[in-house]
Amino acid sequence: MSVKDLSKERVKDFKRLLKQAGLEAYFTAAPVEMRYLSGVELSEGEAVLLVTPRKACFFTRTMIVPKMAPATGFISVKDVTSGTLAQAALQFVRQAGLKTVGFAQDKVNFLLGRQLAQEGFVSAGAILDEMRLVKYPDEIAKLKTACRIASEAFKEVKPQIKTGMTEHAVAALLAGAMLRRGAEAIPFNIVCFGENTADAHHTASKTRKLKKNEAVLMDFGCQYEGYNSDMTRSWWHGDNPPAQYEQIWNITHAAYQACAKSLRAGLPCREADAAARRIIEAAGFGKEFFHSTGHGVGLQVHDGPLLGPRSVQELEANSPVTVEPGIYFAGKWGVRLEDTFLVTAGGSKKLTKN
Amino acid sequence: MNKKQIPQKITLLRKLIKKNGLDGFLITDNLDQFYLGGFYFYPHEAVFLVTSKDIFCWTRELYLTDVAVRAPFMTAFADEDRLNTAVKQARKCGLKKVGFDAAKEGYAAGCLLAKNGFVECPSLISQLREVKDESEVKIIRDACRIAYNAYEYVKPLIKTGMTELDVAAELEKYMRTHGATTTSFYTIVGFGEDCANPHHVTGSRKLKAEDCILMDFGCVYKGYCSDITRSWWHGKKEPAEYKKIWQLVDKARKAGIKAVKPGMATREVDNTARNIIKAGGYGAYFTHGTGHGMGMENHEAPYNNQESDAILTQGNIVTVEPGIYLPGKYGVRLEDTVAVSKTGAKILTKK
Repeated sequence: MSVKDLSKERVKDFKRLLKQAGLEAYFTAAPVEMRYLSGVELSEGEAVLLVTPRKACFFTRTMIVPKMAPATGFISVKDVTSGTLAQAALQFVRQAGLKTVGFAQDKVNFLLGRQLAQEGFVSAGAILDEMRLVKYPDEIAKLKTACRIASEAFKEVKPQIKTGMTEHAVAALLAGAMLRRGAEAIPFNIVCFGENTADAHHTASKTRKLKKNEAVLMDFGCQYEGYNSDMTRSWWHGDNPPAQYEQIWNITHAAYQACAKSLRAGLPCREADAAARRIIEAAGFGKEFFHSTGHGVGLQVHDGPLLGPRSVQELEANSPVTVEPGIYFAGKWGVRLEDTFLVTAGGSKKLTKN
Repeated sequence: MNKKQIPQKITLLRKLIKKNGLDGFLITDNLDQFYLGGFYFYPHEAVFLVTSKDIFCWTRELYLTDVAVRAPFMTAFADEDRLNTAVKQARKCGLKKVGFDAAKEGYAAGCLLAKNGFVECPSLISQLREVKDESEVKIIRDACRIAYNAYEYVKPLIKTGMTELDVAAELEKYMRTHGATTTSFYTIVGFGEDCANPHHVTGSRKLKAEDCILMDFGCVYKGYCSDITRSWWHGKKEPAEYKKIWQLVDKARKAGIKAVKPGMATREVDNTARNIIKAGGYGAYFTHGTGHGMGMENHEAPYNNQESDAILTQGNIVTVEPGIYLPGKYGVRLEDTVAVSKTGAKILTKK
């Protein structure tokens, strides 16, 4: 069921971008950037990638060479047996006489960054971050699968949630349901009962049991072929939700819907945030909504763009974002409702359906 | 208990700060923050500044209530311009020499700090993290127990015809139902020729009636990792060569574990295991180091390999994992996670 990887296309397109930016090469050691361009999943320190408008080359260790198989044919591999990987890349740059080599200043550590700067490397701005915002068809297919796995797993698990179960037991059920459907990893799996629903990043407890009448909040997603899904459901467990809970749920839902409806290519991200925030503020709960309305998802759970009041980016077509307004009363309960959407030219498509 | 009691880890950090001639230390790495404060932020969500008097924490507003409850010894503020605020605060406190971790700080952020008089430092908190205290060893022991028990549970369930992914799902399900929050790395299950690739990605290959199996996996429990590998022959006709390399690897594993003790050079641990495999004639097929340190990250210092200059001390947690890989045929790796105790290695990956 694996999706045909289009990394080769990405490298081709990235080479064109480099040329346009006037860069003779781009240097990266960030696993997320290397994965994006090569399809190879690497850990920190396992490789360094150099891309020029004409070629792309990995610098790596003997033991890692077999891992590079997915990039065969479009990224060459240099087996570095002495010195650091960065030194090998620098030597290559010198020998090839490359002058303007760019790197992302926020993607390397201080020591490496200084070494590159001393070598005359320049800031490439957010050239690759920006390219990563708009997804290729293979990325969208992987995202869709990740979203489908999460929503289907939730659908299976929700009816099994019973009074007396611990938060952790519910999290384990959900994790199992996602893994069985093909998820390769579960980067976060928040299950909260009662007062814990007011804690935006709660860790599922092994002792906290679900009581007969109380709030439940689950914020979860999974990773499929490197791509992540993200969704949140909140509801009242029991027959008698307090009137205030229903009121808050409805306000959050109205905010969620307003934001979802606003999504379209070209919309400033802060407008998408405002669409949700306006409703919650008008209802008098602005202070209880203390986070951004959403974020991009992709190879990282929190990817660009941010949908917040200070965002400066605009939404683009084929860019997946979450919509997740919430209202929280510390010590009492909270509500957050979230889905992952794919922005399209004229609107959006919900990916986490149930 | 005094709610504002300063954790031992902060006290140790303060000593280290002083020893390095600093009057403060800035912490932006989220695992380092978890280590010090017991509170898990995502990356880039908080900045800590530890001085001889204060522990400042600037973070997102949504965490303030929780930080106040779980880390009452910190002075926490909501702030969206955290690095600049930390710089200003350092000035306000009259600090002259605040260090930052040059290996973990991003280049752009590091430049801003350096420009404002902060000094680059080695990874002070990594140094602390290498030596686990009793409560950490206990958690890692629990994490290792869960992983070991998963192996015991899953082994008899494995049947001819199952895929590698099927087996991985069973392992992970067991670990999660027994308290794991996630896996410490992607669960590796390999059958047959896949065992010969130390970096095999678990796939849909089916187990044959006569096949070798390799499982390398671990879980995260209360923020700490475990790591274990088991290899065996599935079927009745175990090839003589497979048996031979299995026994050789096992001998290397046992000797490697025996070599682990305070004062021992990690390079020597690697030599001990490697020499046995070399003497058996398979030196060229043992293509990686003998092990790595482990804690909140699955790979951290000290490393049991030839590039490392580390000397083991009590409180280190390391893996011992020799292997022999015959490309296209099969491979064997046997791995345990051990704690360096006063008397030697204590195997943690057991019942």
